[in-house]
Amino acid sequence: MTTRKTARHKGSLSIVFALFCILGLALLPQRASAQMLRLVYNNDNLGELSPCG
Amino acid sequence: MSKLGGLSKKAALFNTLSSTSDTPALLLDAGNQLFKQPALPTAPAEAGAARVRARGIVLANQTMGLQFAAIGTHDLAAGPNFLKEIAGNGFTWLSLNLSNRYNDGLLFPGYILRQAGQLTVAVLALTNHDSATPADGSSYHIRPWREVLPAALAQLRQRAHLIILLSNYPLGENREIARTFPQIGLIFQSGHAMGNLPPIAVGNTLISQTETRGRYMGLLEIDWQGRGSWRQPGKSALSAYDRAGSSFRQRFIPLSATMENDPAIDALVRQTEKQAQALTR
Repeated sequence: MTTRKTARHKGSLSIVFALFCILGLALLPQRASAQMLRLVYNNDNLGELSPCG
Repeated sequence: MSKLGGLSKKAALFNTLSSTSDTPALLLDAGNQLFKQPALPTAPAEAGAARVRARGIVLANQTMGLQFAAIGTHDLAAGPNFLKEIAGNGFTWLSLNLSNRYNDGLLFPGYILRQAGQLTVAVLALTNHDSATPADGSSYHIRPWREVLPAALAQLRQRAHLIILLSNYPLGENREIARTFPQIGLIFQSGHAMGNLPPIAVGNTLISQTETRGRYMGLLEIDWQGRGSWRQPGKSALSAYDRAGSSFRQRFIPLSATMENDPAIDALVRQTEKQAQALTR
């Protein structure tokens, strides 16, 4: 009887532990995997609106 | 020599780049966008025309998708309040060191966070404190980067995957910034005409800038794998160990006369020029 109770208790603990692990992983900040990004940049347009020489 | 540049060609190029790929694209301006000189022309009509053109430039850039820009020393020609007036509607001026002279409070946000796919990108901006001396009696001053960067980067440590700095400092200072703060992945600089400067790696940081007056756009395509050294595929034979880390490809695109114009921006530019010229007739 005691052995069965202990086994049941251990089983419940395992489920709780597994749920805790899943929750913990879900709450971890997401690590960005390899990410492609395109940066289109310029500087010093110096007030130019139109094409210049 | 044929003419290059123009905001309507810049808009058309950015539209094409954004619509022809699923890879997120971010439009960046590293500063000195608005005025030819760090001070307005002395003739009132010329100064008025420069202000009209500056408003038109911000409106055009905002319309094509520019959401923020660094404040360079030339952008301060009409004063910080003018910049506040022409911002808004989803456009933000950035400077981490343009501060209230009396209490050091920032006049503009120092950085902005943007989501690009799964990446959270922080974009910070610095105005060059060495090349601008605010007039006596002005209400602002520009603090050295060493005073402001440590706290800002500490704030961003857990909040951004990639940190980009838009810097109005010269290359020598930017190299020093890169060596001091290896967490900055990319620096785009303004204010020191050197022509197109392809990316230079300084530790973990790439530094780049384009030619002045909007004649070229830089396109940097990155494969971000987290902080660390950069590699450029095809540039050198790499060992398996060296192939780790983020990689990049870069090119400068001339905005040549044969490129198409964005009709909406073209109309806005023409209208702005007409208004500016009406002031100086």
